[in-house]
Amino acid sequence: MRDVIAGERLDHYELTDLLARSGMASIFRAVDSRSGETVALKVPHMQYESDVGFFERFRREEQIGQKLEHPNIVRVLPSEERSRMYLVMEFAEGRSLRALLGNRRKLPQEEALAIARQIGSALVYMHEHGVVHRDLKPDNVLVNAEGRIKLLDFGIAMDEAARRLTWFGLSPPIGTPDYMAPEQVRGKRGDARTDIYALGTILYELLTGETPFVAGNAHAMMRAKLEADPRPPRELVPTLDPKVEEIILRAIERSPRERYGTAKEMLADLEDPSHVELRDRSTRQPPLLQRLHIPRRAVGPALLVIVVSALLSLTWIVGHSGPRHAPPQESSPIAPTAAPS
Amino acid sequence: MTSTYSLNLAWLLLSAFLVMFMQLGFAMVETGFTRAKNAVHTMAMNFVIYPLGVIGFWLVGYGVALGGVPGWPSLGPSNVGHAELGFHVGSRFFGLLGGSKFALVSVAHDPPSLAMFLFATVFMDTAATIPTGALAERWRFVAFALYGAFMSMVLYPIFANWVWGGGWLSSLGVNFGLGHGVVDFAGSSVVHMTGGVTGLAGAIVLGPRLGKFRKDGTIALFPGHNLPMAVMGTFVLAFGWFGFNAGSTLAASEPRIAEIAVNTAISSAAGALTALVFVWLRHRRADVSLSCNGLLGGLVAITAPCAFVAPPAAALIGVIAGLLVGWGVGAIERKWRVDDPVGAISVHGLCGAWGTLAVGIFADGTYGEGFNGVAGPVRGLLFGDGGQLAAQAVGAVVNVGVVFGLAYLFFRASNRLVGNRVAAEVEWTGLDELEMGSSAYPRE
Repeated sequence: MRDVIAGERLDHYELTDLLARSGMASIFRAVDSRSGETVALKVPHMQYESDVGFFERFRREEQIGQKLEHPNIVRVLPSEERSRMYLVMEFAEGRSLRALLGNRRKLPQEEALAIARQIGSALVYMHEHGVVHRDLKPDNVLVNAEGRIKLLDFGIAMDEAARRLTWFGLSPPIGTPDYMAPEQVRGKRGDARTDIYALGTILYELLTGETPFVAGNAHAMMRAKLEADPRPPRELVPTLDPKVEEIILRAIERSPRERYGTAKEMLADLEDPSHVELRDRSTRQPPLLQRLHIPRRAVGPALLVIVVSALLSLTWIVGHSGPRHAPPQESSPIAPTAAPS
Repeated sequence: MTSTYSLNLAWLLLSAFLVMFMQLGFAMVETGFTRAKNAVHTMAMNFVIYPLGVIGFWLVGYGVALGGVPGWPSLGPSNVGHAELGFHVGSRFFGLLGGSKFALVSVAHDPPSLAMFLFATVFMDTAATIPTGALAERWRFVAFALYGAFMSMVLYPIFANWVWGGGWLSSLGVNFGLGHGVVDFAGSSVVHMTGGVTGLAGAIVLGPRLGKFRKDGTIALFPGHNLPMAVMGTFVLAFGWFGFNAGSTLAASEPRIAEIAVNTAISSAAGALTALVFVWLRHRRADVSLSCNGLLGGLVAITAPCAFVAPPAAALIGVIAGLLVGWGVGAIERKWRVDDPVGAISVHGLCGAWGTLAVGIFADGTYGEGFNGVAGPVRGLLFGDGGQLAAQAVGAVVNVGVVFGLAYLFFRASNRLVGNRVAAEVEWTGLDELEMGSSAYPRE
């Protein structure tokens, strides 16, 4: 076997064009020769055919896809009799949000909110069905000419062995950590609030043309997510509605506990931002030690000076108080060193 | 009086048993810190050094080390011959070697000498097993066996005689008024520095493990294969150390044993925490392996001063030891380009030197009346006797000079005689399979 190309036939599907090609799979537009319906086929590259872990993930994506039926989620179609591993999906017109952002950099508030609401509504539906996406990013959102969006790619959703993205384990297929939530950076699997974080980040980017954290490389980015605060979007776009800014900042709080608890709450705010209450983040207290702004490099020497001087003082006190000598003994037993005479 | 002698004999034997148990601790720490493919080899060295050392020390070593000591008053009267070889300059005597009690022939039924033999033997074996860590993962077994004989019969006994057997370092006080001469209560210099310095000489002669120092100047990390084992070994060592230090009174009738045990615990704790904080701040990782070495460093450093200092000074000694370990483990690799797989040179060499000097700084004049034949208690620099610090410095310098020199010559000679290094192929494959012919973790 070899990788299929456009123009070929795969079972009863005529592959007409190559729509996209990633590191792991190609997506083709295809025609089902039995029904005449246009569909999309996701065909993994040959080298993954024998990869058990990959197969497992692919199968899970299919199961999840078939379970979910929502206007903003790409449907996975049931299909029998496949001669090899591939996925049959409904064909959705449009391009990825990433491509859209590439063209227009940023969108007006209403247009951005409309997209965010649709993603939010998809999230509400998914989460109610016990599915967490975990890899939500503009590349996985299709948007058509009318502005209707559809979510794609449930490859790591629900997967028990979901790529645990750790500080040191950043491997090429994972790509940008831009949309990764801080808890994922710390190596946790994440839950519904992880998707909320990603949606907040996407909305941030739609409105400002930039991501909340900017850093020179992936590691610096991940560190920033754990330690720094995002730039408020209104610093970049001063005309932005403060209430919309509040929605974003609440969605991308570092601690999941500070975020929206559910996608439903966030969707409600997205549908009517006028009710959003502004929170004052400037008064929030970071941990005491951070507030003191002690340079990390000074901690060691400072500790050392304190400990050494304390112990020296104690030594002096012990040496100059109380009985100076042990009680007298019957004989002096220290022995191995009797000097020869 | 007889009951006191019995008590003290039992105390000394019990302490010797505890120190013997440290052989297990060393085996676990060193094997845990090295790679799986060399686990049998590392264990085998730690095992064989024990029987080899016992026999070597019985036949020759004990006589050289302690053949010049007339007796052990706390253990009972003994009426045996003794001889210290040395020379006189005017009225001053400079002892160089013990010259009696070889193979225990003359003391075969003398309880004090026998108890002391057992105690001294496990001390020697502690020193002898230290270089097996520094030279792990590349040492030919036959060369190691040769070393075991040399260490137990020659190298260790010489320095032990100078400090504990009535040799010239112990009489620096009597002869030159330098405090009480070199004061090393339980062996920071005699045992640990000797082991660490010998390990350094060996590591230099053998060279680094293949692939350790790369051509581009970077240094490879070879993580140990069983950290839990290393942690367990560390605890075994810390436990045995109570015998090491408190046993060195040679008397349970000596109430100072309480303070000695407390100082031992405090210093080790301070060393472990300091190393932990050090590595945490520097590498942002609470690295338990360095903390283990910090605990051992604290133990090594308190070994010489344990009887002479107060608990706060013990803590301070441990803190400095923890820093020395944290700094030394990296610096020895980066600055000296010496490969010490388990950190033995830092833990035993550097901290041993520090502990030796610490006596001369922190001894507070509450103990050591008449030590080494000098009237008055032992005092360090902070308590009015700079001469003691000078004596300690002489002891440390002589250890570095003489032990390093003799060890270096020995390793060069053994390289010509039998060859120190295994072949490159053996090292790549693992010493277990090709040098030892067995595997610690067979695949089946």
